Amino acid sequence: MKFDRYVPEGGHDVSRLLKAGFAALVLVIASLSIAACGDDGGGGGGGEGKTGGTIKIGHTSMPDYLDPALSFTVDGWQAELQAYPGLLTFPHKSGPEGAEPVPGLAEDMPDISADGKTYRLKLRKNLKFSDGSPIKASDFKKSIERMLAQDSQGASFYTGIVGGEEYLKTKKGGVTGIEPNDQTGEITIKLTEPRGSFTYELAIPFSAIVPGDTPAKNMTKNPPPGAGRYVIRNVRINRGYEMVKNPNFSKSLEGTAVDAGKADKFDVGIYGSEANQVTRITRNELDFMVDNPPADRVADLKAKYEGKRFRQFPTPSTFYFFLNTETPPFDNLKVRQAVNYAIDPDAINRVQGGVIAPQNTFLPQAVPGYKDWPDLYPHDVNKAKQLIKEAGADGDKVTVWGNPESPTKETVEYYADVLNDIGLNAEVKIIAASTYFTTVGDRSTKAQTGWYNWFQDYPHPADYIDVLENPDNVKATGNNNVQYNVKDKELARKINAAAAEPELTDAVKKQWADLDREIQEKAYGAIYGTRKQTTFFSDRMDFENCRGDEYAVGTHDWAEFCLK
Amino acid sequence: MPDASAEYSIDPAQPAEEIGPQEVGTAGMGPWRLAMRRLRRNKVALAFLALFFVIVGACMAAPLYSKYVADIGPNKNNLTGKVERGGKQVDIVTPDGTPVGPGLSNRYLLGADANGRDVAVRLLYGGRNSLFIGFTAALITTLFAVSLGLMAGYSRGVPDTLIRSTFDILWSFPVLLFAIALGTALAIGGLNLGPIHIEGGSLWIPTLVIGLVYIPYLGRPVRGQVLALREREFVQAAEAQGMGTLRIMFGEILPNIASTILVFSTLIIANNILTEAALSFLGAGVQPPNPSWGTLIAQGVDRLVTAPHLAIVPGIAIVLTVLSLNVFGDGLRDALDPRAKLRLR
Repeated sequence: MKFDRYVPEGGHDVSRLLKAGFAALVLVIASLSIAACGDDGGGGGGGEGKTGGTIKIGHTSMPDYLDPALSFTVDGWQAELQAYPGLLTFPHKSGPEGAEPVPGLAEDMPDISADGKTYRLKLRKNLKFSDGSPIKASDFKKSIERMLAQDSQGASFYTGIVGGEEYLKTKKGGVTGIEPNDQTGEITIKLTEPRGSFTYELAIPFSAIVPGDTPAKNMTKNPPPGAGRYVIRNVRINRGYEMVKNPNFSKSLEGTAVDAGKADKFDVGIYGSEANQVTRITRNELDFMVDNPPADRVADLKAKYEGKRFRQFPTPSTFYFFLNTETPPFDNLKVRQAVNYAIDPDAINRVQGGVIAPQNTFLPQAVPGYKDWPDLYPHDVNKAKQLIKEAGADGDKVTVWGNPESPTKETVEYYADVLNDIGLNAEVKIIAASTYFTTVGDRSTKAQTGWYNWFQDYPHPADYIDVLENPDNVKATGNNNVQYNVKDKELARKINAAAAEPELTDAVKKQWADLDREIQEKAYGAIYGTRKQTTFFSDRMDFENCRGDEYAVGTHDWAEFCLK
Repeated sequence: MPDASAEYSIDPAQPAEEIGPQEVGTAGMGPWRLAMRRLRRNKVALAFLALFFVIVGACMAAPLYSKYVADIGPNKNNLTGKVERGGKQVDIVTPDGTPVGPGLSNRYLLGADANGRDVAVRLLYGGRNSLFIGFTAALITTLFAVSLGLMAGYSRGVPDTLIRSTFDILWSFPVLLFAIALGTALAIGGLNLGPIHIEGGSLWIPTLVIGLVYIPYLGRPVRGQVLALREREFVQAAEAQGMGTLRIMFGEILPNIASTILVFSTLIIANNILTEAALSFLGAGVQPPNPSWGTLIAQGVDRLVTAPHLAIVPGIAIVLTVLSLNVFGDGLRDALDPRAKLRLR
């Protein structure tokens, strides 16, 4: 998933409008005096912590969606993981413990057939949605169909279900590969090919179960009922929303992985700028900010709060510039290689405020299949210039896409300057953060190159390579593969073969590692690093026991948050 | 903006008793010469005019400063380079992203921004862009507002109704919100109007947007003045002599409202510079990496704690420019206003 923002149809990007007001607030920051502290290390907190109370959470802009069928951002998922469990779910635990799916609304883990194509699950008894209505097995089928009917960015996870691909294209006939039995609660899912990551995909919000009669449209303003410990309500676009304990939480889910959450309520606001959120947290007016603090505040916050209210931790993420191989000049391998030679991870780290750790592989270190390959493209501007000349691309016009959020804007400005340096004629195009990924993910936009990042949905190499690089996953809209490398049938064949492996054996991991290397060789993107994320709490929060950070899905798990 | 049709006019048809006694030693002087004479005596206005010329001159010299002093272009990133500060070589941008501050050296005199760009160079280039937009947009506003105001006021009837209604509709939008909406839409998609094609990142987009939104603010007072003037004897005399409509409009009426236009134009330029800064600050004006004073402030706001100069320096540039234009504009209004003669005695 990515970091991005929401703007309602016909609405304004509130962050811009509020910026002027927040600028004045930022001025006040200089006069604040703050206490100092040390470091504690380790992830998550993981203690018991106090229950109850209201935790105030800040976003810079509205999450992309608050509809589980549509959201594909860290911002959206941090709430949705609390409100919309699927048949399986991720344990609410930091680190590797929270990375492996466990039964959610299903009684047990799926019974997988020997050929890896059939998954059998059974719903727990007496499950209820947050509105009190019963959950039926057929609601799962309808939820998957609802998600596909909206051309969700998560569609590619489920088109391997028999009839899924056809339904995505035609929106007719239903997904025949899902066979629910409302009497027994049994659900059978048939896949066209085995898929090693499918258990993970049954645990992410795209496959969350919502009532079968939920309209197939963006329900952000009025999120549908779920079965989670919390309910999202009172959504005010570009202003905020609330998340309160589910009054109809199913008894059969008590004590399960779904039954997690210490705070009574989350009061989530949209604050327009990271600097404003930092100020509010230092004043204890806000308890946690989803985004990182602005670069110029980090050193100060570190010095004063590290180990008590502040910490940075590595994330399983990949940051890169996408290169659209369908549009010149990036249809030329030499140009793509030139870009890879030209970018300097050290410079990018500085422009992003020191939160980037250089990385030349597509898979980050924490993901199975990662291999410490030697860097194919050490920073070499002269080599890049030479390749541009050899490709005959000197002076070719290039539009670099980005959004106005910091450090995205600064990074694409750096990138455009680098492209100009090596002989291309680059200009920057900044569009609203809320619509950024859907715009560049629309094939007809023909976005040539620009900002991209990926935070893992689940710890499996397929979540990176299959989702982001498989040529078979390119659609008209909602693409995560914005390299649009549709002509590379050989790569598609290899990715599909690796994705079909049911187990991540050493041999399979090597398959993924080799694919990672092939993607680097073909320079389908200009990869430069992985990002550190920040936990910065108010003094009201229990930093020691309830950080909820280093969460495998979505960087922070709000269910773990608690007040002192 | 107030309707200045009554306040700022030189009306040659105004009865002598309304104008008041003649200034000493000014008998036979034309209104423009009188105005120049009054303006020359207004030292404050002239001082601010000089300040304005200094700012414009500095901005025009941006390429020279960039090439021969700072040795770096306005959009050139330098994230891993070093610069001398206090006899030591320091990072232009530190590994934790903090840019170097102002210092007494040719390079990075006003420090660097987050991308390691020279703030002084960008300030001057940003000034060029802000001034270009301010002046050109004022020209566009004046051209359309005067033409439409003349046409509406002189023709009356249906053309007047149409033009006045259009002005009223445009006027009904809060000007900044209207400009933000237009600027945002055009900055993304560019302008494609028949044979006219302007890229979204072009300076012409904010120029046209600002030029357009202020048309009613000048057009309405112009129309009001023309409505009054067309009933005067000199216009009736021109009609009786068989002069054509265009000749009466542009040859007889226009010179009589020129002072209003002139005063308004200086104020509109200042207003345009402020509007450009606001639009660029909000991302709907000059598009990155092109600098303007508004974009420089926007970039600086995120780093107010560690690098306050990034926002303060362009802010000061805007204040000085707008102040100089406004003070000069006031001086010009006083000089052109016949009632100001009382002060000259």
